[in-house]
Amino acid sequence: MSQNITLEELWKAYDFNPNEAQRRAILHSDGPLYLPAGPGSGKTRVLLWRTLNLIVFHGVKPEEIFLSTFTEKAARQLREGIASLLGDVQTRTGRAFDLGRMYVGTVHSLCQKLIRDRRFYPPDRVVNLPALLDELNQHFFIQNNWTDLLTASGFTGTIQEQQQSVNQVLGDTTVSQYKAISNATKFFNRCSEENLKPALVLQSRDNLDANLRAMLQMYHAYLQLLNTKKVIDFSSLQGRALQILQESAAASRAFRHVIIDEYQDTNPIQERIFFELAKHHQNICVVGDDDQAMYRFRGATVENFVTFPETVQREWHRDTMKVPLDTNYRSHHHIVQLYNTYMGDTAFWSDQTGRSWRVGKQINPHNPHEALHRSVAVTTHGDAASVGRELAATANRLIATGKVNDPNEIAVLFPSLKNDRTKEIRRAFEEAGLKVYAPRAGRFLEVEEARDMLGVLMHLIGKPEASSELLRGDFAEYMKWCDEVYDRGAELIRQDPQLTQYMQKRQTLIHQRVLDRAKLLQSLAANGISTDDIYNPDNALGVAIKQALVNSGASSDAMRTLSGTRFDRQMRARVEQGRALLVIQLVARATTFDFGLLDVFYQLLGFRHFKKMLDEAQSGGDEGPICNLAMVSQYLSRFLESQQTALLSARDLTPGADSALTSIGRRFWMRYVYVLYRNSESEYEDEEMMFPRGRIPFLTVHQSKGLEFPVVMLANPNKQNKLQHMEVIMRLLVDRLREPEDKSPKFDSQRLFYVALSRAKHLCVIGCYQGRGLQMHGSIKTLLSRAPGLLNEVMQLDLTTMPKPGKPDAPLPKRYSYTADYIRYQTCPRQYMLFHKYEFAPSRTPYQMFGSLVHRSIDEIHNRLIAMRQIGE
Amino acid sequence: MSDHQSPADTLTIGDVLQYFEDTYEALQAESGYGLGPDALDDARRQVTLYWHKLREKVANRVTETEVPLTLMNQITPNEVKYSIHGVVDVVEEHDQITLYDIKSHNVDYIHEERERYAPQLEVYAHIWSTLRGKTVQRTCIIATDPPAKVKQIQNIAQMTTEQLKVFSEWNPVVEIDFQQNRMQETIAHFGEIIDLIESRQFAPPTVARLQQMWQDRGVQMICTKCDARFSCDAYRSFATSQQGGNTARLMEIYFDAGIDQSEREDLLERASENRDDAF
Ligand code: SF4
Repeated sequence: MSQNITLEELWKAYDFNPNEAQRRAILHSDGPLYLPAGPGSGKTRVLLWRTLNLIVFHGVKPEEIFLSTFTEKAARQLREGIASLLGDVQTRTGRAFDLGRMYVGTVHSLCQKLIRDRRFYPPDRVVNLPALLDELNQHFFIQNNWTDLLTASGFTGTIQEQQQSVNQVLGDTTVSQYKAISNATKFFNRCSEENLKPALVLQSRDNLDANLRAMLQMYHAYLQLLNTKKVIDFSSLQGRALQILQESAAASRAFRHVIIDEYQDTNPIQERIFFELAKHHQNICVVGDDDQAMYRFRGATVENFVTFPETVQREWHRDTMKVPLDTNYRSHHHIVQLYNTYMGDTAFWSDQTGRSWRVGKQINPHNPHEALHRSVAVTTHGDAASVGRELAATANRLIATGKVNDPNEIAVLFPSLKNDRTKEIRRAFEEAGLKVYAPRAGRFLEVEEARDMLGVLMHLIGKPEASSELLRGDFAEYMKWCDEVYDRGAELIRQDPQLTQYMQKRQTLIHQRVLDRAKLLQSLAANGISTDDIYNPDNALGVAIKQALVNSGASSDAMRTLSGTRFDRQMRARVEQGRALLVIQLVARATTFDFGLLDVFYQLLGFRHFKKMLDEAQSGGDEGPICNLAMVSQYLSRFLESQQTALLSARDLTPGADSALTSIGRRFWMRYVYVLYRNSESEYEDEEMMFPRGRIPFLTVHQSKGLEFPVVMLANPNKQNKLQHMEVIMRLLVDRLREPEDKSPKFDSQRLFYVALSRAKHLCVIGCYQGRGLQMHGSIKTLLSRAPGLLNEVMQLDLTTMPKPGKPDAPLPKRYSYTADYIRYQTCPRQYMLFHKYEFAPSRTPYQMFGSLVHRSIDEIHNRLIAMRQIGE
Repeated sequence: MSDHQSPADTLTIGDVLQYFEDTYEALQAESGYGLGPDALDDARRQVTLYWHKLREKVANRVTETEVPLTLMNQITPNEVKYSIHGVVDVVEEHDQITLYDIKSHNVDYIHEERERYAPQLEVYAHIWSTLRGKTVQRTCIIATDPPAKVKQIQNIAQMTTEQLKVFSEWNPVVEIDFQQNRMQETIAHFGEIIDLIESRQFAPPTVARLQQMWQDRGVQMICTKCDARFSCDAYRSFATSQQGGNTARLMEIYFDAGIDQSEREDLLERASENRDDAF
């Protein structure tokens, strides 16, 4: 215990005056704690101070705390917040704390940390981690093994028929291969998250239909494949972590405190992980709000949260301390009243057995006597255009009267950004002279910089031609994109004489090498040499091969790579090692260029159109374009990862028999870019968002999670109440306590709109619809009829009493590395900007890789020696 | 996860080689990049030589490895709040604390440039003592790139007398004197650099500076392998000035791949492998 300072003194220094519930939550330090936390109830502060209390006043070491958050951003905020509070304690008391080994992060990042934590392995075991596949790489992994997986599944019929069956299982009627692969991916991930053991399910449930059995068999094969190829995806990563926890006695003792934020959005396997982690000390604290659960479509089970005390009782036979955080510091009290009314129907939340599926809490406004400005409004009932006009007019009034600091403080929220109603509302805003910012409303490949860059590249590697087969639904839209991008590329090349010259020169070089290749192949054939012959410089065939190549008439550039003493040495070494090259490989070697796709990308950046984007960023200007270019480089780099070498060869660039599309072009456009194009259809991302000044953000409700805005407009309160196909399937495959099938989707819609309403601080506006096909969600209609006293017509709204906007929060302290930032910046600021700040993907192995390899290997030696000494003692 | 077991209580050179291969495999998977056979041999040699040379002197004594260091609550002249991070290896024996920083550079180079590295170790020592409340006595850099003569030793197990002499004379540990009083200066400068980063000042070095570096042969390292050189005003002026200011050279820059002979060989070697069309 520190002698020199108390928690109360620290609170005072930080101007923090916790309410009774917050105080109890912060001071609690023993046993399971259950914190249902309403919107704007200051739960982040509670987590921060609670962690501090444990470290400073209860002697818990930072590395004994496991703190999981929903996003990396939240983790960073917590970590930095704790670091700075501890820094302050250190200054005041001289006691130092080392946060370096604390577990703070998303569940996924903590699982990654767990599976490489040496403490949890026997010391004589080499910890050799599988490589992590991200979402896109997982798709390609499955695509590359697709026929094997189909075979393992036992589906019958042609490939098309099998794909159709895969799609059918998930309620999709197409035969599309892309869809089948992404449906299978979703199914696999969901199975992993449900902690489903395919072999067991297949054995124990013989009443399953054949298609579902086949899917399970496929999942089984998929897991084996991950194992043999030493890779792992994000979902099965969690299973791996759980397995380590179950096998290691050290792991369940390592964490004296397990703290989980946003518990309502965790999934079944995560629940297992948390209980396993806390098994020994039983200090588990879960924070969350079932009313704000929105991630069922991604496998989250709000049931984890609602039934938490029951689970604790079942697992550990003990009670849980429940402390609801129900004081709202965010919204005007009318808004609070609005959402209390919205959620208040107890009968609705109960099932037939009388069990309530809502934790249930009445939110109390922090300041119930705040000035009585009108904080809830509705538009006139009408169609999207008229609702849009009223919302836009209101936004303009708010801006003109200075009720917001910037248009970016008005959030317009939608259940989905991709529908016609959203488009109409956007049009209304733009017609009213307002600028809109809608992140992820479209695909990355529609972004200008991506189109420009890929458009120019298309002129080098060829353009996919629309054959009738490609004009089927799956491809048609994409082919149109390709056409447009190609034309754009032509325009850019035409506009810049330097670029025209560059392209001509590149094409001449390519053409020459393609010709060389043809000559080499011809000469070999003429001499009766097969391309599959093995080249050994020391036998007669080898001499003949060499002869045929030398006399082929290919350019000296090509021949250079097949001569010299080094070449002979290498070829002999290969023969000795049993890795001798085939003739076709010799040809490839002779006709390999000294550039690859990424080199061309970086060269193109030198031309006017692209260069000015870099120049702008380099002197502190607009960063939008450079961020997008960096992303293009990363996508190109990923493509190259699958290509064995970073360099292009004549074979890659030989045009097809009937079109200009080269073989690299076919792989690039028809497989890779196509999947990118389709994959980026997803609307839900947790990535960090920026709200550019001067623009009104149009967001999905999911994107608004955890945020607050002075003004919120719920522009389209409509959503279908339908149980997703995946839910239906999981209910068949896994037994667990779940919300009733008929009500669950209704609960989910209601939670979604609750999140939207509760983002608002000073003003909340609801768009009202009327007319054919212009539905509103039933729950919203009910709300409007139940709370007539709160509602004001937005066009008549008196804004004069609305409070002035406050100041935006100060940004967090940033982490800078001595070597990666300080030293690298001084070497070259521009190189630092591109490859470190914006993370452009380098064309070749970055020079740091060599150092990392040496360094990490030596660290590994040290680690093992330390571990051995520890057993020795 | 491989279940590679090592006998008894010590590591063998076989273990060391195994760690090296495992690390390489993991790095390759993480980054998507690979090293050519020559570079890989080089790295492997550095690790095994480290083992042979410093097993007793350092490796066996390291008490903590990869220690994350954080200096919290820093503030720049422009009032940006930040923290400084670093990683070190630590040997703690009889209250004598030594920090080691491993760099895959040549010993002679580190000796020449020790002044450049001193501030880093000073800051690390400062952070370590602040966090642990113990003073650091020594700071060292381990330069793992051996001199040419050591590289030529083919078989460490059977060295000739001559080779034995070379090997025992080689000292990869460079002690760096540190002066705590200079540390404040470094941190202040750190803050100024952060301000430049935060205000997004990213202009490349001047042409004059690049020419200077060229004379020091440093530019070899930073520009010729820099992907951003085609779009870099500084490099473009520098490269054309090398050609007497000939602007036609600008177009040539694009066709100069910047790949040297050995890298080219590496890439060709890899290109020669069978490619299965992954996509
Ligand atoms: S070429 Fe690269 S390293 Fe050289 S000055 Fe320009 S950006 Fe910096």
